[in-house]
Amino acid sequence: MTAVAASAFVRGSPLLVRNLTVRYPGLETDAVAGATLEVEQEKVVIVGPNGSGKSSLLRAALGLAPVSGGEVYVLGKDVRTIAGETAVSTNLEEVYRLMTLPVDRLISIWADLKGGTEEEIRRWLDDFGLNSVLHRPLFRLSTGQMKMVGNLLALAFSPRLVLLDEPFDNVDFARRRKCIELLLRSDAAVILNTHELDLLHSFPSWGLYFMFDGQLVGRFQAGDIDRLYVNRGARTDALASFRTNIGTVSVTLDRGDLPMKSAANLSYLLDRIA
Amino acid sequence: MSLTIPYTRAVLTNWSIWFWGVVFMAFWFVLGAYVFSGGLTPGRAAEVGYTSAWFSVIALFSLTTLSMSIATSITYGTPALAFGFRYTRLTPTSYALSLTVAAAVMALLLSFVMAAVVGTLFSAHFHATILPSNLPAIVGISLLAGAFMMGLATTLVLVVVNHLVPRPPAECGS
Repeated sequence: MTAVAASAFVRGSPLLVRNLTVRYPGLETDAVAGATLEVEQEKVVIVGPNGSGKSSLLRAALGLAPVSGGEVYVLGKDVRTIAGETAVSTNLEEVYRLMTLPVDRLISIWADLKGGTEEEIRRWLDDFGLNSVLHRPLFRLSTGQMKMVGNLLALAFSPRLVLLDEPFDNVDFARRRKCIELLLRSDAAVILNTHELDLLHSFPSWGLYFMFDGQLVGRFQAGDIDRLYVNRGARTDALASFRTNIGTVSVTLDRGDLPMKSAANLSYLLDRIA
Repeated sequence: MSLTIPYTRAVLTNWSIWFWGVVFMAFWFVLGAYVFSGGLTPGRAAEVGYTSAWFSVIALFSLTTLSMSIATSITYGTPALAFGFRYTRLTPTSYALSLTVAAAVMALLLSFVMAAVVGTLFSAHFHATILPSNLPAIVGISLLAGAFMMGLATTLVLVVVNHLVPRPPAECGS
């Protein structure tokens, strides 16, 4: 075990990722290419275009992605050997497919598996106007409903670490606001993936990372999003720089080629500076 | 933590098993009783032997639908299991036991339904009562068959997932 990993083990950091490489069978390139990330008892958001490796990073932390190099420690334990750690949760729909069940029974079983109680999530479902989904299995829900049920299952049962993959995709505005409030109130460490830059204004105190072509770039502050600029090529005043398929791209504060706030998502931003 | 009741309930309410394991097999029983029995030598021993042979073969085929259903369930739930064993109180042992019990209960039910269907159809055709003579044996063998089908399905899925799907050298987890 390395020194960093050993210290994380002692402290029980919610998540420690070191030089992580993920490559899916049959593919020529790495989905995650040497990412390093340490999350303490805090909340961070990872922003990146579709296919940048954000979901693969979360899946690796959950033991669902093919890790070809590096280390992942969750709550101080190696993800390859961790077992029975109920304080970690996610909104990924695939982890709730233990069997085909209506949401109502899925909640009961999940409460039992997590060692928690059902009252809180049932109250949330009522508050979110989602009682109509209770008698349908997940695969029969709309994409937005499925995402919201996943979000609520992830936040329920007192987790210490919540990994959320695109939690607001296809979710309507009112439920988005409610979900953001829940996230802000949560005591858990949260890692939230998104490709929407606008969302960062809702989480100004959160840590911020960008992900491009499997590389994790950061750390920044989400509240600084309006002050960040993207530049083509390396710059001496860059806070961070990374390689993309259009060459080196750097991020600067308060001045630069293109303000981050000028685009709704990073794909559009990269297209504009290309 | 036990998933025995939820799994048993899920298997018992699986329409696919009921259709392919009962309705489709009943179709073959009809053929066995009324179409393929034309050349059978008349006589009690031949009729009982013929009926028994059909029951043995079709009951086995019926249980293979259970096996396929279990294999599909495990394959479909692979990410959930990888997550569940790490981040819930679910253990591989309790999961396997729950699935085995569910399979055994369904196998018992399928065997009884098959015995009832074959008894009814062949008795009607031969104008004689032909029923299983050793019910306890049917119960025992059915339960064992369910457990065997669960083991077979799980083994096949594990072989495919772990050895036939290409994986990188240092993959995390199961």
